[in-house]
Amino acid sequence: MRKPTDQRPEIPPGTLDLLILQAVTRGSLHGYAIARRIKERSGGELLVEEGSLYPALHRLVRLKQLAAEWGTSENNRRARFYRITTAGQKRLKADASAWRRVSAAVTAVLDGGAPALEMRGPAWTA
Amino acid sequence: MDGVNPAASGTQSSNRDTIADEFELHVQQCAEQLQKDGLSPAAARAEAERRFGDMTRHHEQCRREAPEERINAKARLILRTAVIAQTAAIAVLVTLVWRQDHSISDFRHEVDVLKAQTRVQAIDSQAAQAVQRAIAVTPGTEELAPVHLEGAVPRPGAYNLPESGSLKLDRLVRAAGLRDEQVSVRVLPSRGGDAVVQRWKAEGLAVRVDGPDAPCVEVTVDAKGAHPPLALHGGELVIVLPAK
Repeated sequence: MRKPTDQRPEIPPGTLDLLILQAVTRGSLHGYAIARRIKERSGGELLVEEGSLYPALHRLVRLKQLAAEWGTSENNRRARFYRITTAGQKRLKADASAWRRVSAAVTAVLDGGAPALEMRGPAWTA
Repeated sequence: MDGVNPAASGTQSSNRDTIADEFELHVQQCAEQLQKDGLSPAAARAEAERRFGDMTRHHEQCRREAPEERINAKARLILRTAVIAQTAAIAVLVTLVWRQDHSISDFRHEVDVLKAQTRVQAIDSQAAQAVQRAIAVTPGTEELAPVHLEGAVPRPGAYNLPESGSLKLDRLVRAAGLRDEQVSVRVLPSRGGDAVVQRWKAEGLAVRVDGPDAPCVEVTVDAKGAHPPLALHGGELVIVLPAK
């Protein structure tokens, strides 16, 4: 549970799946490694809470966007590894594109005065 | 880096095992990292568990997401009828009670209790299946071993628990040929909400026999104190049900 004093930004709603899918694009990872990778890649800004991580992993497996299999961790422990599937790659591509458009649009608005980017395709869903 | 190519282990674990094992690995890895940061092993483990949060709640969330746990809504609706559940529950109770040589009055009392429970709770399909496979754990008598366990289990019989100290009930259940993930516990007669244990946790459920002079089985249903310990005496039942 995040402490009230923790000033790290919350992971925007709807983006956790995207972050997880991206984390495993270069190979299979177990849950702890996925959380660490997201933290490292975000420069320590994004902390994935366990209460969100594991349900998301199981949901993505159910959606067949991740595949899971048991193996051995780097510490020789039994671990469940997740890898991205073809369906997951398709979703990652689509969601990443949508996120970049939304992010650019929000940035433009915050910067003030810049013309809003035209939204194409399905809007990002929170 | 933490990623290692998985070596297919071919493990056929249940969903419950799967989730618990995942959580344990996560906590262990977090604790190791905290040790590297300077915490003692005990402090690191405690901090890792604190960071992980409420495992039970996380577990439930995963179960809801897991495909194995998804239940066809139509089937649930059909099988959710109280008639089915009540019939199954009473049939099992009849068997259990007669096997345990209970008196007719005890039998009627427990049937009434179970009837009331089934009416109120409208036991769903899973629970109905669970009742059909229920086993019973009863405190023993002078003629029997301290605990007598019987019902739909591979190895029913009398089990000697130590006269002092504690013995995890999961050991008893394993002796009966069941696995932890197959069972949850419900206590009859009902003692209110605290007495109904929906899910089984090995570390949170223990059986203790106080001694030869005061044979009593105490079931601690939650090690963290959310539920009070239950003292069971002769004639009372602990029905161990396959978990939902």
